Amino acid sequence: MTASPVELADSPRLALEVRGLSKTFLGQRALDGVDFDLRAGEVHALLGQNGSGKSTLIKCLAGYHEPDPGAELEIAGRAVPLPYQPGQATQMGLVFVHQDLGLVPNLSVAENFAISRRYDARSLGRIRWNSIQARAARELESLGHDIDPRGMVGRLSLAEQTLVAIARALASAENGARVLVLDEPTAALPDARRGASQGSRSEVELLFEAVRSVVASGVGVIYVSHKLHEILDLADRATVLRDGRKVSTFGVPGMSEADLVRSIVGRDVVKVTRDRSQDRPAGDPLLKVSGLSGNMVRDVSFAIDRGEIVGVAGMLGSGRSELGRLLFGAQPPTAGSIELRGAPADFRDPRGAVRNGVALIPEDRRREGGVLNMTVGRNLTLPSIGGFFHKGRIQNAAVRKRAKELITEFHISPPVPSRKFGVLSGGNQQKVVVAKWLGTSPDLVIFDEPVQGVDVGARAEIYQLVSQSASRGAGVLLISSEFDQMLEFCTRVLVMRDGRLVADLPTESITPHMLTQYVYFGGAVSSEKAQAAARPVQDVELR
Amino acid sequence: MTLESTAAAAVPTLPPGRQRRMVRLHGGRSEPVAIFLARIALPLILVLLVVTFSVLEPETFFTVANLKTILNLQSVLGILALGLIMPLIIGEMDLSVAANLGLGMILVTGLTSQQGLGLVPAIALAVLGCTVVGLVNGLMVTRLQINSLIATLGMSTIVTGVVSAYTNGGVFYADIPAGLLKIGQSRVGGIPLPIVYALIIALVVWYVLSSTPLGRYLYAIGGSRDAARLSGVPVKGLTLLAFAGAGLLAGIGGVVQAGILGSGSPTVGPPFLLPVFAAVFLGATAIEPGVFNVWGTIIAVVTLQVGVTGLALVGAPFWIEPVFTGVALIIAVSSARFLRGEAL
Repeated sequence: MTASPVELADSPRLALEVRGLSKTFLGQRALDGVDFDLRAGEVHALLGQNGSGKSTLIKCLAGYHEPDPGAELEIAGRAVPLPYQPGQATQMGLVFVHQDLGLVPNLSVAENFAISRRYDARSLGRIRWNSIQARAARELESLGHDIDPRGMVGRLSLAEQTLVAIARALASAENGARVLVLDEPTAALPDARRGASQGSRSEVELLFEAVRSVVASGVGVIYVSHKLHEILDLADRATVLRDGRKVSTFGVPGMSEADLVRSIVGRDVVKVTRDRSQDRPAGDPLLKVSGLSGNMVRDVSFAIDRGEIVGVAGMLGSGRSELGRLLFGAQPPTAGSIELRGAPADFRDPRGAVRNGVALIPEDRRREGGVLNMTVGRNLTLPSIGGFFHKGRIQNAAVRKRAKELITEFHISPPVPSRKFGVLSGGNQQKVVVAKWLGTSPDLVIFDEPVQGVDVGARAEIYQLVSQSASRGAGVLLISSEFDQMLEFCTRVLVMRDGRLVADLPTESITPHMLTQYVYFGGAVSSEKAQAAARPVQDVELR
Repeated sequence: MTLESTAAAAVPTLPPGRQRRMVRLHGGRSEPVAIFLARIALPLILVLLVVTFSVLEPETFFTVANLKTILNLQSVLGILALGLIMPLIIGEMDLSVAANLGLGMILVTGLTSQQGLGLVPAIALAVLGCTVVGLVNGLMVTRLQINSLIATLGMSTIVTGVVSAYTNGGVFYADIPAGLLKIGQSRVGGIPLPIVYALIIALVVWYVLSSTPLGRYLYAIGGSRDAARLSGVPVKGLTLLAFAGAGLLAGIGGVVQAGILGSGSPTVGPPFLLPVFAAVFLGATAIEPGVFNVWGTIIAVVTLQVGVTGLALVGAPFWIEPVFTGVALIIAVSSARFLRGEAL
């Protein structure tokens, strides 16, 4: 570890202290004697790979899991008897905001407040909307953002919805909240370091400000996120869990992303680099797109050669994902033409695309990537199952063999074809989705944010798979918001803004910094403006 | 239908070898045992019912004749249920199957007795008509994007109305061709033909669902329409096919029912609706818990009839039949959910 454990000599007020917390599931230790403390008024990041015990720890705090005997818990210096029920956690001032927020989108903000507070009325009494609205408005204001409590939640931006969820959670503790747990609050938001330079505050910045004002009021915040640059921006201290044990707790200021990665995976993970020795010579054209338009995409033209990885950069809503869907036949184009291997390729549906050797690894893997309640084996062979139909039936032995091969080849864990896809970790789900497509040996592979919500270890593996598919001779379209990795892997980057292709840049000649400028301003900008853009992006410059 | 538990997300990633057999549980039960119990709960109930009634009424219940009666009575329900699981597997509802069965029955009896058509063309037209009804259901769902519950509710009402118009509220019982009665009432090696039809259809549907890519695709659509579509599964086409399949089997069921009864009545079809849904949901708790499946459905159909017949033989009042069916359904579904919830 580069950072030394923070001294507790001046013993700041603790919002929460846990000692010797273990949790055993049928002989398997998910948490093993974890000590953890949270100061009042600090943001304490909880780090670890998928399966390291973060969510078990949080669920123990929430009262959802009963910890093993022997654990001790103090809230604001007062010992709390264990175990307790989820409702009691709230009473004691422990409140939680989960990734899915738990809001009802077609109700107003005030109504969303009211449902968790039982309408502030006796069962048959009249609901006092005025007081509920006033209270909701007050809570939201204290987070530093104006949100109309009468507005419908579904119409708010995702960041604003997160604020509503935070305000509601804080308000739900009747005796005052002491600990706020935020579980992956930014997973669905566009990336912070790209947005911060815009005229208006970015979604993530909005959320960060709210967290800072919560902390300023003396509440301790436990913050769980895979996005390490957020931790560097926001957290005061961090605790790292690995295999259910606490590895260390350290102060965050002064640390780098590389330091965090090292402590999380327990070894140095070098930046994923691409071995270009296997690159094929360019000039073997595969895909030619001319004047392609869709709902958002306008008049986009470009070409990809075999063995080439072409990046697509753009903000959320720039049309980057739609471009992938248009090429895959998942959405009908309104104009333009697509040529694959010199032949027209305007697929009416994804089936046509699959038959012609096109694969799309979609952004939302739980909804679109795989079938959650089907087994890993069936998911892996879904696009290719027709090839296993011989002599009047699916040859199950061959299917199983193929699934096992893919599991081994793509390092899917656990290596059990009969496991349900939905219970795998995010990284392994993504490996299944990638494996199911690369297993069909496609000619054109479209990756849409392939490493989103994937832990550090699996991230590197998935980038290697992107690279491998190109080495095998496929053309690859990599839609991503990780610009530095994109520049490492791609030969060219297409920049999209408002549905249009604004630049087609060879990667040798640009830096992540320049790419950021293209994405946000549509081109190179004056040095003053560029510096403003680069300010929240120190780590990009360092690379 | 999935009975997925939210606790699934809470299972930590453990070393693979152990995780395979052990999952977080209360009370120290391990996953395979729980799943196994869920799998065989319904067959066990069936055995229990048969033993109980055989002990109570050895003279009447425990006889081959009674067995045949039980199976024969429910073969039409079985055929209808095998059709209904197709739309249910892809996550769609079909409330029109019972009315559609009534249509098939009326068409085959009416076309022969009223229009004087030959038996074979009448059967073909009846089955075709019912298949078209299913296809229209599918078109409403895929093209007009109407919620299948509403689309098939509307279709069910329309079909019932058309049947009333054609029969004018009466029953076709005169001039029914003898061939139709043979279809419904003959035996092969002592086994009533309707049982044979139901078994053959069960084998075909089971083959399609378990051994062909088509079956995989249907289950994939039910799991996630978007993921299936983006995996190259022709979702729209298979949705049409599933509804058409439900219509086809409703038509076949209608023809068989007409043969059994030797008449066509507008009031026979619609009352099948609740029992057929009870059977498929009950069937989804057995063999492959949480999944609509062929053999679970067949066992459910038989179990329900064994219970009803047995109760009648021991002298239970007439109203016990619907009460028994309802209680069995609720207990089976909740116990399956309980067992699986514990397991996952």
